[in-house]
Amino acid sequence: MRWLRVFNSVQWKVVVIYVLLLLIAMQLIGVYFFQKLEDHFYYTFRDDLKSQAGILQEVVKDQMTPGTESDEQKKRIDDILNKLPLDKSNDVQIVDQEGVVIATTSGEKSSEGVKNPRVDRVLQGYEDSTTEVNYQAGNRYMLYSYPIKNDGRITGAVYIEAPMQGMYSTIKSINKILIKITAIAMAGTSFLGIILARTITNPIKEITEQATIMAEGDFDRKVTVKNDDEIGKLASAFNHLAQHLRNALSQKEEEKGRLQSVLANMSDGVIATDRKGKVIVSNRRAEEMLGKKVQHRKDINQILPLTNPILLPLTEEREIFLELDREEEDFTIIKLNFTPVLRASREAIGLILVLQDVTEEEKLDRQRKEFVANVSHELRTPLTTIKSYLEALDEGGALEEPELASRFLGVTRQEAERMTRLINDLLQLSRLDSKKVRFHKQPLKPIEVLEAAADRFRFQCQQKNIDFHLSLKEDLPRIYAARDQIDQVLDNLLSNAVKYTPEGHSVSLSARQKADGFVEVAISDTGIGIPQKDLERIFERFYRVDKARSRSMGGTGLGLAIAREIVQAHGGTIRMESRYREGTTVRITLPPCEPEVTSS
Amino acid sequence: MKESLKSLALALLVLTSIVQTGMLWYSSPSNQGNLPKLQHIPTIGHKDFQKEEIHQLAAPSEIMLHHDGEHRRILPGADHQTLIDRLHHARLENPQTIDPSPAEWKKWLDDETGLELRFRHELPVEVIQAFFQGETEIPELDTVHRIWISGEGDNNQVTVWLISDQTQTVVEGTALLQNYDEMLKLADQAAERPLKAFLNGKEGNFDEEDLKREGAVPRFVYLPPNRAAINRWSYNLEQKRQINVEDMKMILFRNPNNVEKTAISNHIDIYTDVDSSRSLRYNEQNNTMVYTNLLNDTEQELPDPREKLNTIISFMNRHSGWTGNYLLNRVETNQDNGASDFFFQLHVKGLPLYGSEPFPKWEEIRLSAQQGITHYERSLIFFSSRSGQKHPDHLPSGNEVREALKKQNADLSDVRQIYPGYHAVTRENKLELEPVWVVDFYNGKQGFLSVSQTGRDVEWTGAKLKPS
Repeated sequence: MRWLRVFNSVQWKVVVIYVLLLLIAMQLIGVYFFQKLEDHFYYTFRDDLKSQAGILQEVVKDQMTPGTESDEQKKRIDDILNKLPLDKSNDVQIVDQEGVVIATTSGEKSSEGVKNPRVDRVLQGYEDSTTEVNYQAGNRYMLYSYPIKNDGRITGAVYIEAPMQGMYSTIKSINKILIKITAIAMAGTSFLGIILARTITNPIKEITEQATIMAEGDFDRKVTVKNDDEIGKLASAFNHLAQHLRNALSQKEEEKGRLQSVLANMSDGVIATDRKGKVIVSNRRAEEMLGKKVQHRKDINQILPLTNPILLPLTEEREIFLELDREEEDFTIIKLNFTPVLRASREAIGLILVLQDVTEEEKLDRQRKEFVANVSHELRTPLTTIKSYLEALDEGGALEEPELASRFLGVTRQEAERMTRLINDLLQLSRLDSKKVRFHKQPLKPIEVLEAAADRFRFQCQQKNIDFHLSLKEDLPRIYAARDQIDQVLDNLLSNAVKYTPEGHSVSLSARQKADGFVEVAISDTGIGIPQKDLERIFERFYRVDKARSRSMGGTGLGLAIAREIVQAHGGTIRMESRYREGTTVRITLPPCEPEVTSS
Repeated sequence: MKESLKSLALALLVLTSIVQTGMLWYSSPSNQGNLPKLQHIPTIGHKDFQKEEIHQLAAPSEIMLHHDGEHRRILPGADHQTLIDRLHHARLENPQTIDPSPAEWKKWLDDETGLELRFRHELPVEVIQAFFQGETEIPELDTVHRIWISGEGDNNQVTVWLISDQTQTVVEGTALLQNYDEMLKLADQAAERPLKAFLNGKEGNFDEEDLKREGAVPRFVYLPPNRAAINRWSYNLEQKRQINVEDMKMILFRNPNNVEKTAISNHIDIYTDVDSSRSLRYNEQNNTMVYTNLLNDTEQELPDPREKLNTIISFMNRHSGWTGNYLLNRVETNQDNGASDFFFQLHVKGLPLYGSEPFPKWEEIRLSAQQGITHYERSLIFFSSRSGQKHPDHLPSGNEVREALKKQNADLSDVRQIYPGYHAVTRENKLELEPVWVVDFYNGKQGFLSVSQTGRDVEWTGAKLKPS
């Protein structure tokens, strides 16, 4: 059937239809022509016979007196037949009233005296003449009967049996010519048809080829517009379409790129499924959040480690929190937001799942709760102490013992001061958080600031028998900072160092300029140090390594947090290095007043 | 779907056009293939019995040779035929009515030499004209019963009398007969033994008074003085031959293929053609047929019986319808349509055959003709004359005849004519043709006289009542 495909093209269809229509037309013309030709010959032939029969009738009728035929009469009729210039190929019979052949031109006299029923209708007067065509020995013969009338009476009939092969030979010859002409015309017109079809189909073929190439992705194709006819317009339209397609595809690609980019870079994970819950789209973030590869065409319930699988199709939005425990992290909380994709008929055709990592929010929430609890605790502790001592004073008769009363009041005042400090610290932190603090920054010489701070703690160190070292570089650049706040930071840090450094150990304060120009100040001690696990959270508010000790030492638990806020507000950094039971070093960096780079 | 339909429509169009072309090509011109074929007309009799001309068919049943008062009968046969044919070469001239005197009649009977052609019945004068050449008008004569030819043979000139016994008219003319003497010699050779002439029962030696009493035209009866030897013929009934009615159908209808058969009774079928102008009634029991052609009957009647006879001759010869030697016996006018009916009598061994007891109508054929044959009636049974066995027999003598007539209370004066014939009877599975004197009375009755089987007596069959 491969050869059939050849004809499955417009070109061949046009050619075949063209040729077939031509064939039909030629056939109709041919048949009509043939019929008319045959009719013409037929009637001419018949008229010839009629004319012959008419002449014979006129000549013979006098010899055809009914009932009087005799050998002599037959002889006379024979003579007439012989003398008349009749066509020798025709068999002419003179038939009497009884339908019996009484004379014939054929050599066979045996047909004389034979009854010829073919003239019956003519003899009966039913018809003026009869014409019939008969096959005999492969040839057609026209059988013509004509009555012989004498004084209006039918006395016999002329019967002519004429071979028609001559007539048909002529018709055949003419037909052959017609068929030849038809064949030549068919061949010629077929050739022209092919050319015509090619003229029409070649541009279409070109458009088809270009469209095929376009379908494969190459939109930089153009077809040649040769003229302004329908096909030319089609080519122009094709080119126009291609141009639009290029633009549209370009836009689509951009859009797609953007979407993919958005999808890939979204902080939220996105997974889209079909109505059966098979994954059709997902982004990298979703895989990160879920900690595994999201395979396409996989069921969403197999991907999500849900206790209760999602019943599909989903028709309403749904929100689920998923907590994932991972070895490397503490935990991860993911909010799963299921949104059904609905048609206008409310039929669900898919599902969009948005995964949001709400771990930090949760942590913050926890910190907030912890902060409130810490604040409440830190405030309640001194208040409880104050309340207890005041009640003791009121009820216990401590007022009667001035020393005891004085000690009680002292404790009460001390707790009140502590509360004041705590509140001050909280207020300061609050201001720092809300950026309401206005720093009076000015260029400061670090040496001056640091030496002043050293001076403030040198005495305390002597008191605790702590060796205090101050190590400053002479060429430290000036820093642009608020003196009070920097002093507060240094005091806090040095205070902590002194507090948590046992006697006999040392505290050092040093400063240097880093390669990036920042001034790094390091407060080191050889104190009790901080466990590694606490180190990360040491700057959190109210975070204490040893709460009891810290509190007893008058700390509010907010000092390092305030220090960090201040340093960060100056554009610097603060970090802590510590080894448990070996010592701690806090390094703060502050930006220089003038940026300059020094070699480290 | 739409494209497929379009393709299908185109394919159908092409196919239809090709089929149509083929059909037109092969259908034109139409071939009326089953045309009736030329059909040979079956022949039923033997060509020997064919008659070519009227004078042969209408030949008299007997020719009397009169010579010096001697009267001898010449029966149909070869010589009889020759004599008629020779007469036919003569031209009748100057015919005129005469009124012969008794003396002339006596002279004619006693002295003249001549031939008397005696027909059984009066025949139309036109038929008689056919015995002669030319179209000579015969005055005042409608029918002729006898032709008398006499003369001395000088320059072969003969006198011809055309005699009508019915109208008692005689027309005389002359004719030139080549070799008349030879004719007479031939007649002399062919003639049988001399007979005695009787007039009104009187035997010979008639005087003028006898002749005058008889009327203008005396009518003589000739009988032998002694028993005349003649053969009796017998045929085995198994030897009968039957004409197939299908053959008759082929013969009588123009297009036998269009003929319908209708059975109107157990034994009678009617064959009619499409236009019903022709019909053939076939009686299977009697083996007879009657054919009529009404179309021919309604057409204008042919004025001349000769034309009718020619039509009959052509018609009968075409199918060899003469199954024996049939000669014109009489012409009757049909009471129904006024047409002339021609009755042809079968002659066996020169004698007319009578008696239809074994096979109705087999001894006679009736034909009528106008533009064509309008009536054809006959038996479909016939015997070949060659198949018969002959037995010597006799005809009663003149005296025996007269005695036999007396026994029937009649005499020769009641007899219009008496002549030999055969009477057919069946005996012991055989058809016997007995030689008889056929006696026609003036009253139209007919009887037969034959020698009894014992040979001593004379038997009378036929009319029993005394004719009066």
